[in-house]
Amino acid sequence: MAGIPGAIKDNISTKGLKTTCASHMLENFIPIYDAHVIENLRKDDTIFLGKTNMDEFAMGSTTETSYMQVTHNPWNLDRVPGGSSGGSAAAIAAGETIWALGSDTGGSIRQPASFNGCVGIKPTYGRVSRYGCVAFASSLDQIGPITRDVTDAALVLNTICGLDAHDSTSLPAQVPDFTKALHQDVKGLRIGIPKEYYGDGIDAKVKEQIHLAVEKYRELGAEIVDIFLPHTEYAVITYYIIAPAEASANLARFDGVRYGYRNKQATSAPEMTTASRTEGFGAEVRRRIMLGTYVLSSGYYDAYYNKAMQIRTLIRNDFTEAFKKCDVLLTPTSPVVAYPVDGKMDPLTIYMLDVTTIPVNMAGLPGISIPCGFADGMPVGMQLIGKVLDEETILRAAYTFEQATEFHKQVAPLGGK
Amino acid sequence: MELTNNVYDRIAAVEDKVKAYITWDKENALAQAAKVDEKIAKGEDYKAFGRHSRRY
Amino acid sequence: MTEYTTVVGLEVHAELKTKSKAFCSCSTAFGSEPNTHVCPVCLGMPGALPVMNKEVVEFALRFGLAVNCDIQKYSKYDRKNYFYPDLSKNYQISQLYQPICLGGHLDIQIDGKPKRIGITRIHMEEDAGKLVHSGATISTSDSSAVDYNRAGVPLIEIVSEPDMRSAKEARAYLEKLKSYLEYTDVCDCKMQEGSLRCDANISVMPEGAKEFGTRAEIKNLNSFRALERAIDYEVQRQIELIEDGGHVVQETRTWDDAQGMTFSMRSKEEAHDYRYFPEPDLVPIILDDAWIERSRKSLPELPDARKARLMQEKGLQDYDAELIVSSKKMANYLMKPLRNAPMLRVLLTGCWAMFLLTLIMRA
Repeated sequence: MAGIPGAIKDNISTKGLKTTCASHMLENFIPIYDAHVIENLRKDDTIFLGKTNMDEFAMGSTTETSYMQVTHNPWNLDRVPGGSSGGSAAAIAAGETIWALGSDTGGSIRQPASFNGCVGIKPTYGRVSRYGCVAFASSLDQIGPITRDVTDAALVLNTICGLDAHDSTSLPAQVPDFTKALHQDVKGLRIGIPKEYYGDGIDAKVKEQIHLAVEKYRELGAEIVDIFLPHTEYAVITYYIIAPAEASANLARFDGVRYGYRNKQATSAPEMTTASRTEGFGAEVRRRIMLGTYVLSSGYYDAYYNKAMQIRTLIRNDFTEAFKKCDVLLTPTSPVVAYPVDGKMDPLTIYMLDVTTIPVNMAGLPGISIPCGFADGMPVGMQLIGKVLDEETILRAAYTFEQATEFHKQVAPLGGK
Repeated sequence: MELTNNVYDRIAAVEDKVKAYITWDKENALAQAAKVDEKIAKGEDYKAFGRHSRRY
Repeated sequence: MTEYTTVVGLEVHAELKTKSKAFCSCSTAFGSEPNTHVCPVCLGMPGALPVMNKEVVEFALRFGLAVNCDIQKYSKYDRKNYFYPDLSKNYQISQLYQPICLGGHLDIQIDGKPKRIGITRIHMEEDAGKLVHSGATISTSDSSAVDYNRAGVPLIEIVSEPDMRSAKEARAYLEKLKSYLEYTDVCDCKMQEGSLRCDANISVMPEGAKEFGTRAEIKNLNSFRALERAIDYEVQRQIELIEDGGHVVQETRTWDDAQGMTFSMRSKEEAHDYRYFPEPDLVPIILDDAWIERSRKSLPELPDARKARLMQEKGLQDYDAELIVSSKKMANYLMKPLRNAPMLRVLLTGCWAMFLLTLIMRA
């Protein structure tokens, strides 16, 4: 990784370099410490180009909730780059960086990767230290690479993975050399196709590209297996209970007392805290904090949060059962391709579009998105989901497909409609 | 160093349209690149480097 | 004239004298320049994460064993959410649902008779920082500053059963608790420095009643004397309220030492909803039999055992022995001459010791 310049999503702490989380709350915030992944990259003499745009505090799927600016999709400048790691993915697609880091809580690496025709990996939960990643949902967040091809992603993974004493949820699992998984061989690989991920909610043209990809794998010698993940329909709802709940506590620290935006007119601590947060946070962030506070409040905890955690276990069990019959799962990364900027979609519709990525975070599994085609001139991404700590198999499967096709060589035109 | 410079040139060329970055750190990045160049000159082996200099 | 029974339960917070804070490696040293023992973790910086300090678990375990608790082999942390400038994350990492210790007890002496006070639970949590106001009180200040040196210092919260029936019993329990904390060397118990804090839950009920009355929580008790005075005052206040036809409100009150009264701080309606949920950044604490045994073996001779031994071996009276063992330092100092002296010298040493101890403890 030495000497290779990369871009870092702006919710990852870089000592001495402004880290804003794309929020008014941290508009001028300069961290006093490096995130663990940054430390690792610095040790490898990596070069940091700058910090990329994102949805505010990683809450969103279009990078439009950023306080700073709107990022445009290099494949069509009138379209969104996806989110929340939209800046990193767009930078890769536009050739503005060689590698990038994003973070993924419900799809925030994989979806923008698919919208921008590049590669994005969300590692197994615990593979990469969260120390220095501004917390959104502690039990779901993971940092991961966004790159032009699978090889670069493997190289970044090699540097950022590993146990960190500063993160109690990081795993002591040995980190293999992921580049050794990059050989072309899917003969006999059992690829599971979960029925629930190919329903009516998936755009027909997207589905078409994915089916072509499945055929390609069949051609290359893989075995295609039908799989059922029966609790998939509950994933988005339970995510939107658990994630906001954890976020409401994680974002409580932003009160204008120690750092960040402070309303200076207030005359009491409670007034200052309230004003600073109301003015410092955008609408989507406030919406999720309120939702999270509500589901944790007295009288509702059992009905919502507790219940959601129980369903989460069922979702995890679905995958464990599925992996008895297959080695990886293949799904569309997103039901749609990148849609227009300011398409005035209501929040709920946008939430539902995370249906294919959210379950992977809920189960803590590794997932990769690679480009597999185009629909209406926009990139389509294919998602491969692996077993816990089995990034190697999904890397191998992704690499094989990539080398057998030309999608990773395509360059974004940077034009409008 | 050349690689880093080339990337920054690209950023300058397209960032207006894409707006992917919130913050650039050009000074530090170039300084870091210079250090790496020094190490290469002294004979340190950086495997991955070669892949990318070709693209720019 | 109805006779009333006083019911008191105590919630005691003891700062643990570990080298480092509960969830980071900052020093726990007291009295340093403000904000010199801080780091991204205890300051609640964006992206910082807590890491469990094993010494904290060891201390909590040791103390739990000393007070006869049922040690929970599986316990975990929870977040207690509320906003206050001295709480750097605006949530406190505590243990609500599954604390490390349940069901213990301490025996006290009241009027020469033994009484057992139950301990409901003991759990670990972190302390908040310290607010310093420019004026005498919050309302008379135009600015306040926060010192986070204390933020993240480990605490154990020891909750007693509502077994005490008088201010005297409450004091005796707190004194006993203090001596056990000192003997196990987990807390330096300096109430004036805030390393030992006590809140009292007080209620009254008509003598012979089956159900407890509504209780009030009293805070800001900074000394043994304050504890006794506050209980006496509050009991009287509640009795008068009831006799006048009123009802005791479940609320939090503060003890004003200067005026010798309690004042309402917040009512049940204004009470915090802490929205407790399991702490996702920390893994559960799992203790095995080997660890618990090691800890049990490392316990020193505890006050009650030592007292029994002194009475048996040296023929000391109950009261004298109790007084000697009540302070670890004194006991260790006095035990030296006691080991070799004949009966008479033992008694003399005992008298002087009692005199000195009485002076020290009334301070």
